[in-house]
Amino acid sequence: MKNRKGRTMEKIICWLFVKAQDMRSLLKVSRDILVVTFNEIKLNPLEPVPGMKANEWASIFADLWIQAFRLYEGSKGFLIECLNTLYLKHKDLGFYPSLFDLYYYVRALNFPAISRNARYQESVLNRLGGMIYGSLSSVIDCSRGHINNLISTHAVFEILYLTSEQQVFIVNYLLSYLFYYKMIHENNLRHFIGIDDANLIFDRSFELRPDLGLPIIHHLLTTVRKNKINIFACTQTPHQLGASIHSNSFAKIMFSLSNGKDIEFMSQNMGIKDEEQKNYCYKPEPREMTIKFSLRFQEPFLATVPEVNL
Amino acid sequence: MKQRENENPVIEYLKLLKKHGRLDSKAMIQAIDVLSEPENPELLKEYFEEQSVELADIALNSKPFCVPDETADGPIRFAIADNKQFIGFYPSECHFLIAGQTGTGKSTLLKIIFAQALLLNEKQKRQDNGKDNLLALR
Repeated sequence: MKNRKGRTMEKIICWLFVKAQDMRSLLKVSRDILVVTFNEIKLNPLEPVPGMKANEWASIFADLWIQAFRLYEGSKGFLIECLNTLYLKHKDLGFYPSLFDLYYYVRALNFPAISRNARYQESVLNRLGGMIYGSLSSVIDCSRGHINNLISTHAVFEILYLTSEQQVFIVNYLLSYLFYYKMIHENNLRHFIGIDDANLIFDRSFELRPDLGLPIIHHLLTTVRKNKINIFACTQTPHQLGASIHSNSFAKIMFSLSNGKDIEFMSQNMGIKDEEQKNYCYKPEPREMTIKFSLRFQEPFLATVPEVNL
Repeated sequence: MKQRENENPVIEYLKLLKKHGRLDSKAMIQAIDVLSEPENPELLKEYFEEQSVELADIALNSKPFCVPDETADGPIRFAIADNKQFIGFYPSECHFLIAGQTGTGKSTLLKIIFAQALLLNEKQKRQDNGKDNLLALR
């Protein structure tokens, strides 16, 4: 696709992470949307991005894993070591290990009962066990998943039946894969990522624990020009979101909020200093929102969401 | 910001009109007439007597926010302002933070944005097909 100046036009790919089924109504607009219910899709989180070395992906995976399952630095080192050994073992086999392979590999390791490694082993096994025997067991039992096809597909990911840790892990895994894929492979796609209830993913507690490493979402938000990924984060409690989304948003939108703390937080965030304006934020009309753009028309203003049959 | 003490009331009035999207050429011409004779208090008094209805209307009926102009629009439209101005953004403008309690319209807004993005793809595709057909005719 090319525009008038002969430049190639970007195609927008939509990904939505939601905890309800109402986004299926977008199928009325386009039939080319895949609704992912985590029953029939296959994903192998240990499959590196094409063009990336397995040991590089091992570090990224370890970061994702310990952030989602709230492990500590020591377990991360242990996990990276196990992963690299496992990748080496599978190199000659011609396929990537799955999370099942990782679980059985870690379980077979022998350490003295009272040792640090035994504790790391127990922590990692505990989380891996929950993953491979939980609701995602039929999704992750593969060596090569569908993720490369997903990159150019509109998709609604319904994460409502996953545990909160699984939700964090799956969303972060998909976003990380997309991010690194786009870093390595130049394509003409711009991704719109909508995240309903973004508190889980943008939780500011991640930023308060630097030992866990920076969450992928931070990279996504700060290096957007390179990777062409737009994030649309919805939340009911904006004060619990990390600073990266607040400081990198082109548009901040505030609907009616019931918590005064959140209203004050958003007002301050949007640069609303006028007392009359501040007071108005406590009693907007139904469907009315306060909008603040950061690069053009920089004054906060009011607008209404139109009623649509979607 | 603390208001400057010697701010001209006519300029202040023009700023108010601009904020509420009511600044037009008539208001500008009237203001210039008054501003051109700064030493004539009678003219100033007459001017504000004439504008008193407009001022009262702003005070009683206007919301305390700016009214957006066409610069707040873009190809992906998602809202409408009180002055019927469409609000939209360009695909290159990144990241939206949408806050609101349940049932206020967050999901509807997401749906509108994503539906518009899907439609924009279709529109571009149609335009390209049209261009291809024209090239084939040549």
